[in-house]
Amino acid sequence: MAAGRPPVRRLDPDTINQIAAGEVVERPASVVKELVENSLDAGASRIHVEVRGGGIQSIRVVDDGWGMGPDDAGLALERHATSKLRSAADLATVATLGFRGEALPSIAAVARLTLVTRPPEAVEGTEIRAEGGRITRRAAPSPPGTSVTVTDLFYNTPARRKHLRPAAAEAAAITHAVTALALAHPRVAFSLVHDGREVLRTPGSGQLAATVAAVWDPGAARRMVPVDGGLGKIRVTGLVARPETARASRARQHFTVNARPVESTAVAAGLERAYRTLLPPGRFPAAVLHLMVPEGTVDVNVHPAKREVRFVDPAAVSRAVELAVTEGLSRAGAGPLLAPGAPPAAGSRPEPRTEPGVQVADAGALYAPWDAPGPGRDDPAAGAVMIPEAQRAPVTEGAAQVDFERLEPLGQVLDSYIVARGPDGLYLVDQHAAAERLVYEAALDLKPGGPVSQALLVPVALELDPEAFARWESVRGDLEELGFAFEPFGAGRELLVRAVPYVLGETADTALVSDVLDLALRGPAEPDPLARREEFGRVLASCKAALKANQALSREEMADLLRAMGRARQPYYCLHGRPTVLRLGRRELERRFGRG
Amino acid sequence: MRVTCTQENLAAGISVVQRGVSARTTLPILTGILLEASGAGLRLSATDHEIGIQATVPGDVARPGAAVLPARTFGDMVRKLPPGEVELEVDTASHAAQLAWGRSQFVIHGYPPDEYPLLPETPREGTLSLDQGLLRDLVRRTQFAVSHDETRPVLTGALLTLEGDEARLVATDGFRMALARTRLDGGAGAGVSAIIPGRALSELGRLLDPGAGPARVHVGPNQAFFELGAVRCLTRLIDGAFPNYRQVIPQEYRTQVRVSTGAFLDACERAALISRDGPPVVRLDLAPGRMVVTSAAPEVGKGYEELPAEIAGEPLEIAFNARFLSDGLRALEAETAEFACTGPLTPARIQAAEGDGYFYIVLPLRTL
Ligand SMILES: Nc1ncnc2c1ncn2[C@@H]1O[C@H](COP(=O)(O)OP(=O)(O)OP(=O)(O)O)[C@@H](O)[C@H]1O
Ligand SMILES: [Mg+2]
Repeated sequence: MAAGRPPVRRLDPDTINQIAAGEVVERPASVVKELVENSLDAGASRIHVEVRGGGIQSIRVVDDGWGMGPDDAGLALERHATSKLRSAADLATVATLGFRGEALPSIAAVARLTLVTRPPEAVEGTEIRAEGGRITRRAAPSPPGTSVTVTDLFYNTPARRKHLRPAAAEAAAITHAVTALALAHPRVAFSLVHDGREVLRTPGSGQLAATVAAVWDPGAARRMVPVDGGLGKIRVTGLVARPETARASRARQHFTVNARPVESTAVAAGLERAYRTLLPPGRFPAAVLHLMVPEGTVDVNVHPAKREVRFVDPAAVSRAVELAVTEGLSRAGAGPLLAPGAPPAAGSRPEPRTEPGVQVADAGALYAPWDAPGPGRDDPAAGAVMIPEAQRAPVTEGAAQVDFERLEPLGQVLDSYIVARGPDGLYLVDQHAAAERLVYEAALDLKPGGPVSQALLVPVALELDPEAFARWESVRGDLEELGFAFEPFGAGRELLVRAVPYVLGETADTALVSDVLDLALRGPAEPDPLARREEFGRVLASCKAALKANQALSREEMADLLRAMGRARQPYYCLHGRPTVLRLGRRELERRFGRG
Repeated sequence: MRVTCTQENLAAGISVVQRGVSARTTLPILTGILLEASGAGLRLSATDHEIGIQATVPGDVARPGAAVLPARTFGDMVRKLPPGEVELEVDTASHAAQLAWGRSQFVIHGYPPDEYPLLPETPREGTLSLDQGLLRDLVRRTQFAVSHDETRPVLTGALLTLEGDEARLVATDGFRMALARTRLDGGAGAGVSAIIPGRALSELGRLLDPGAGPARVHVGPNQAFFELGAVRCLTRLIDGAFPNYRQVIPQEYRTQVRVSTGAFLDACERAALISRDGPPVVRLDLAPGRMVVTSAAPEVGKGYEELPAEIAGEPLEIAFNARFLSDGLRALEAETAEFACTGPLTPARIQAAEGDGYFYIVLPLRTL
């Protein structure tokens, strides 16, 4: 036996608990999350959270759930004591947020904890105190429900305490955690008070839009459109932002899977794909998506803090999200002016759907005013006609989708916008944005029997630099599929372009062709073939549409453009997520003329 | 200035020049018509700096002089006057024009005539004579192939060459090309070559009068002049090099078709009809003894037509923009068309079976 080798010993329970706590309780926000989850599991309809000093000083979570009797309350602080799971087999079907029986003992191991609880039917409540491994229990008066108070977090583990960030940062993390839980549970009324100041309050009305309005800002819900769709047994509901309100970060993306807030790359990927032609890189839509997936297709027990889940078929989940969001976006109709809902019956005046006293009544009654997009836009021109938020009275326009077939062009302003009369108001179409979208769709949606490529009378000769030439060689096939025909000539890096994509139409001159290829061959090619095609489609569209900017159009050309928009898959947004069409409806006109 | 002429002549002259008045201009004086009274009669001029149109109206000039009157008001007024004699008198100091007939009169305020741009006279040297009917045919058979794409200025006009005893007009938009030629009578062109703007061509097409004797044509370094009797049209030329079309026209074709021009044209127009909202694609299936023309538009319907045709060479399936084919066939003046093609990347040719010097080149489409 070598001297100094420490003997193997069994750890005492306190130490075991502290080590386990390390996994469950990383920071004050994890305590809040665990306690709120317990409240949700207890069927609470109101949950009040009060923290001091970023949660390091104290955290109190009060609920009106079904509480615990004296015996259960005593057990609750023991490790692996849970009412939510009986055997490992139950894990596959677990519907509650908690199932390990670890949260309360872990918290009690690293903080002072007081739990006061009373089931509604009981006369007397119970108070449990835990401190440094000592647990005391006594009868105590209590309102129905449970309140848990946690103070001096990490008082007995100085190393962890040192790693905490400043109170403000911990407070922000708590707000984020409560926001995520509130968005996951619109039926539950949440309130969060930090150092005596209310930072969050949700109505608990069951309407997600109202929750969104409460946790972010009142305008946020108006900038979103409802999602309800899916694939097979996967159902996806929620709200996603109109593309023009995209933000520079993913901070406003919240997903739940079977009511459990999670981070999921599968869901995020599906969301991203739905927006891929609507947003430039680096812009992210706000989104609250609730996924319901069948039991057994998801494993919730893969992360110590239950933040992640594992799907049996992540590709199907991505696809379901993509489909549902795409459908939501296109169903929601045009730009910020237009309110989702049923299109007006022919000839009838749309009935305004007003919900007195309710700003945002439900996802189906979302609306947005004339020049809506507010925060999240960085386009300076966008602000030009902004009116103060207060002046924007709720405008509930009935119609949503634009019946492009019935728009009659009246003229053009600034050589850039088509002014059209519709059955339900005045429409403005950004001709450049619309042209870009149409070219993009035409470039990628090649139909059997449809034209792909138009040969040129005089081939365009190009000389590529070595880098571009190498890239050209690697993506030649893709470019040819889109309609280019090439013929290398000479010994060097010269190319003859003998045919161009049909969508470039009659404008395919040397300058345009070399612009397109210049852009297409700049930078490394997308490795994914689909993404690569889309990338080239964008290039074609932006080069071709650039020619349509600031151009006088004939009545005929305007009518053609409007009709083509009626056939587009996504006529409402350009490739950068800006609206292509705005509507000024009767109610909006009446309001602005002071008649409303 | 004082001149007397008939309402009919004056109205006709105004109608001719009014098309030269600039539709959108920031210079108010360019919205006017220049009137110049001299021994030769009353000359009306309009220009937008791109083209200029002049017409001389017979009249009795009592006092020579000049005036610029707003084209709209002046033109509409003259057209509304009763037929018969009209006297026009302009006060040099105030630029006010008095239009008098019978015992009535109107006064129209004008602009100072010396501020109106000067339209250069046609140089006497190097002028060719060309039958107006033949020149009109040249224009009609090529003008439609001119590009409307302002980003490629040289293609927005047609190349006029006067060489030896031949006049040629060539127009292309990069996807098709029309070439018409005709014999010059009297005066041989010495290698004249200039790009005439499409806009001038369409005005010329309207002004040329086959019954009215020869046109006198002069092509200068910057301008071209067309004298058509009492009417004169001049135009700025387009700068730049016209594509070298000779080089891209194949001499040999894999497949040759002889088909009724009318039947082929009708088939192409029907194909374009069905694809009104989409790309007008027409597909030709050419095999010995058989010419099949098909078209399809997913939402609308589809067509299948078999045309009697003589086919020589190899069988070929090929697609075109139906509108492009129709344009070329419409310009043919022969009953039987000769259509020749090789493959999806090679120019195809349409011309009269008994060649009249005209031909039309069109580039195919590749379809999925
Ligand atoms: N607010 C509450 N209302 C009613 N019962 C509660 C409440 N909080 C905890 N409990 C009871 O205490 C038990 C232990 O809670 P704890 O959070 O430690 O474990 P869990 O929720 O079962 O699982 P997990 O460790 O995954 O959270 C729960 O199973 C539940 O029965
Ligand atoms: Mg729990």
